[in-house]
Amino acid sequence: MGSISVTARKRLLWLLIIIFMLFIALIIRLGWLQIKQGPILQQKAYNQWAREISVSPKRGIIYDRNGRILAQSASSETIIVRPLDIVDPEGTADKLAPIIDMDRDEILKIITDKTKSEKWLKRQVSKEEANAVRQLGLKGIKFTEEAKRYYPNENLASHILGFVGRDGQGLDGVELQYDKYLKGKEGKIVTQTDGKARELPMSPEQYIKPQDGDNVYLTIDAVIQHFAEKAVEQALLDNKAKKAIGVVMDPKTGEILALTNKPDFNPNGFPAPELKTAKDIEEATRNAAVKDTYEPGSTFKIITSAAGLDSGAVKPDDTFYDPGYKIVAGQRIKCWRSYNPHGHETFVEGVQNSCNPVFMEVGERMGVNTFYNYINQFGFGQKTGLDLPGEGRGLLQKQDNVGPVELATISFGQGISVTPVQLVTAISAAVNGGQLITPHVMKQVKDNDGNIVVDNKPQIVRRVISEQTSETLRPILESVVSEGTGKAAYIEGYRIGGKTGTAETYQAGKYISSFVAFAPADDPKIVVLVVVQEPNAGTYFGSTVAAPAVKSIISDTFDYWGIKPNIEGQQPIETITVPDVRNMTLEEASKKLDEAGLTHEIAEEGSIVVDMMPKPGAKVPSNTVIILYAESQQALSEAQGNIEVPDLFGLSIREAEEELEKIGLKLKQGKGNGLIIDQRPRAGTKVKEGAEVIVNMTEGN
Amino acid sequence: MVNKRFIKYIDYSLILAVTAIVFVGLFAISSATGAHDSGDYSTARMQLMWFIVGFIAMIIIISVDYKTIGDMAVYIYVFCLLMLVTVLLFGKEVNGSKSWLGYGGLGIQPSEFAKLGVIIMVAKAMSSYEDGIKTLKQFITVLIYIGIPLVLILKQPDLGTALVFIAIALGMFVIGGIDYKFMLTLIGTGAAAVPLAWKYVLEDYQKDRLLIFLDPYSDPMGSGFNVIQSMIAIGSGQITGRGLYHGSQSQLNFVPEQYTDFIFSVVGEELGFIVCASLIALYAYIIFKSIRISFRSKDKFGMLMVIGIISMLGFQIFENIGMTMGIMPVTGIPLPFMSYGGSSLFTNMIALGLILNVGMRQHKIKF
Repeated sequence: MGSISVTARKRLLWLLIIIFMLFIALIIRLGWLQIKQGPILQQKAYNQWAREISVSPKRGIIYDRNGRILAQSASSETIIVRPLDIVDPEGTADKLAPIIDMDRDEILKIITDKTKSEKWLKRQVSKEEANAVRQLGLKGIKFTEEAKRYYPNENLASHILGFVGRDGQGLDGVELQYDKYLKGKEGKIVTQTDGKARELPMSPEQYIKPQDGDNVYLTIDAVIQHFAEKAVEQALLDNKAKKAIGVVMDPKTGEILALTNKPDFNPNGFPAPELKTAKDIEEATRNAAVKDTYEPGSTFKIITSAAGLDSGAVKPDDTFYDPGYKIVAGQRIKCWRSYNPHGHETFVEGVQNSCNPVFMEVGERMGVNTFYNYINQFGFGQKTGLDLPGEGRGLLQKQDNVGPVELATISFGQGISVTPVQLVTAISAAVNGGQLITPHVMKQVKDNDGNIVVDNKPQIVRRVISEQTSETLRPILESVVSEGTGKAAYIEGYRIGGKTGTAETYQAGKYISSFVAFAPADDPKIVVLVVVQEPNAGTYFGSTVAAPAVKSIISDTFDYWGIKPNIEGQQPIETITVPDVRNMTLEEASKKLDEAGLTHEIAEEGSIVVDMMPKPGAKVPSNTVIILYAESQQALSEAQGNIEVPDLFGLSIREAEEELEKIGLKLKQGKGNGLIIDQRPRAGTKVKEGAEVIVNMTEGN
Repeated sequence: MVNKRFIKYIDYSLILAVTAIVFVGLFAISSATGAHDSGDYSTARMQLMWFIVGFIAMIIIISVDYKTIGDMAVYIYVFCLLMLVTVLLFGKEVNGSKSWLGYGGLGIQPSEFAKLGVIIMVAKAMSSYEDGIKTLKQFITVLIYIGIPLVLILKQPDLGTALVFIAIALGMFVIGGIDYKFMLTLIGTGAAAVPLAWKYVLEDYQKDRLLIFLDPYSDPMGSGFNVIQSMIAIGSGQITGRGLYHGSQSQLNFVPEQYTDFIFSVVGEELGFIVCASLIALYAYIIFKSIRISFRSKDKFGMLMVIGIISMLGFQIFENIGMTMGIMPVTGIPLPFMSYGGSSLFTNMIALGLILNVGMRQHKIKF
């Protein structure tokens, strides 16, 4: 036997080193897999053995404040197919096709797609369909429950409620805002599968129960919502308007009792097939009451009044003189009734008359800083914090840019834009004792055992005006309705305060008419605002367009609340016989109606009154608004010629002048200095040669 | 009989290390065969039985001086060859390979025993050469000793075991000493044989395995599936494992051959990094202890025999564990002392006995 050589021993050492390194390599690889990659690989392991089928929870119910159901989910079944478990694809497709009303080949395509371990075959099938399929006892066909959303009142409160997507997720309105409460928590069924992705027949199924969504109780009262929708819809139709908005709020708590935009939509099965494009959907669902801004016009005078009284700039019995205009920084800004100036009047009368110079004066007395401070305090230019998606802010001119002219126009509600909800919130603060309160639509969230999850108590943001000011303001605004321009909202036996508003939109000739009211005037329980956009039925005054809707909402609501009219407590209204002012000039007519104790609005401008509403001889309460339709003198005297007046709409002065000159007519410049938006006589009227055509133009450059 | 004075030189730590590995293996086998759920521990019990039988065989081996075993090398070798021929003639075909000899549930794999036969035969031959393999005659003689059983095993076919033979041969040549001309010839032939083997010898599934090794994700649902699943299993064990009997990969049959070739994946998933790293350390301990024994061996035959066994065990350990972790190609090589398999365990216990035998007899006996 030979002994071991030294070289062999050396080689053994090398072997030792090599083997040592190989073992180190194994440990490093082991550490890499188990420590570094471990979590990822464990997830992979889970993913391949666990097949999860999600089980949708039942979405929470949306109730109105009295527990009436506004939105509710009912479960429907979805048929699921596991292609790998299908035994006889052809036969399965043949059997399924007639029951679930699907194309046989389409079914076959889905059930033979082995790239997925699970697929939806048909979603939201009826119970009958599901049961029929269940009875076939086909292998690889499973079921899962999915919830479908129902809105039992259809269009009612659609803009508040919003709608859900196909997977039940909230997409707009309360459904979106409170989705986290409503949606609940998804449950799942976990089944085990083996290395070949087949479901193990004996494997235990793990069932994680879905947690149903919480129920949301709104501040909305379905009945008042219904009243509001009915009234606003009527206003929309009567005025052939583009859009009408109504907001009803409890001024003391900030609770929105009703909120509506017309036209609206049906959230059931939304979007309906006729809404084809995203733009259609956006238009139908846009919650203008919350998102859109507009120029409030005279309704804003409530804010000017509140600020003026609170700052001490004006007292109710301060006297003013209205010559029909006010010179501000050398510019003559007219009152709406400049043809028959209000003359001497107290501040209260000024509010009743909605006299622009009075408010300009009040604004001027306060100065920009004080007035802006109040405007900010009232929450303009800021979101109110309403719990609905996409609230607008409104537009305030930069305080630094506000000169005397801007100050004057803002004080009667021009040159500022607000959202309807913002205005209602500010006016609530003005009449509720002076506190700005966050408006809200959610009252409570309760779980399915009735435990309160969220209790949305009224939130006072800040005090804006003193209790005293608010108390002073309320009867003044009440007198606007009982004696002033707000007469149209007068309801015998109820004490209502309010203010009309009419504003021209940036699109000339198109108006936004609004009316805001609160009642009862001594202890306001509701504030109602109705805004009618682009009325197109002859008149655009807030008092005629929007006030009837407000009146209807208040009277219906008080009826519903059991608040009886108190006729004895009030002085009987004296009735006045409407005098005949036809064929008078506007000035004469205005004076005559004034003397008779009536107010008026001009539906069609001109110099001679040709028609009026109500007709002469009618018995009306004092201060009723008489609508006057006037025509220009020339139009009347020079009618029956043989030259046809051309349509001058959209032309500049120069273009119109040339046009008229060609056919031998004259041009007379009316209001404004931009493009022509209105003309007298109207296009198509036959006039004599040399007749004058009066044109009104847009304001602007 | 065994001289009582040798007993104190037995390296008991090696026996302990092997026993520890075998017992981890027993738990892994019981888990991998679903014994915990079914209550059927027969597979694990069978392995335990083989361990006991192997243990007794080890004691018998220890009691005989390894020089005596060396003297019987030719008989042992020829016996192994006869068994390999028998298995080709009468063997059972399992998974496309004729490697089993036996009846009913009981069976042995002659190729396992043949590994030891070849080691003893080659060690015996090389120990008689003066200074390693120097002449062509010596080289050819040794090649024939290795070549005959290698060809018989490739005929089964059992590529894995054939690879073990090559590892054994390389280990013994390099340590025992071989003229560099012959070494170069071997390497050259080997390199030339690869394309030939690819074309004529390797079966499609074997080619697949090698290709998959290069990129297991090239066919994740087919041939790469095993490696990927094994890696996922080991990885998801993380540091402490998912608990014995609680590995989803092992229990739900994602891991293939989980109680034989892929036993390490089960341990990796269910017992985690700490146990796995300890196992590797135990294997390393066995190998290093064996190298030490071979280093101190008082004669060349003892040294070469131990080197052959080290090559055999070391290659199997590294190849098997490496395969489960995706750093070695998939071949059907069991993990020594852990994978289920009587012949393998029995052979390895005898191998352990041979190492201990050489180790205990290297000391000068003091009177």
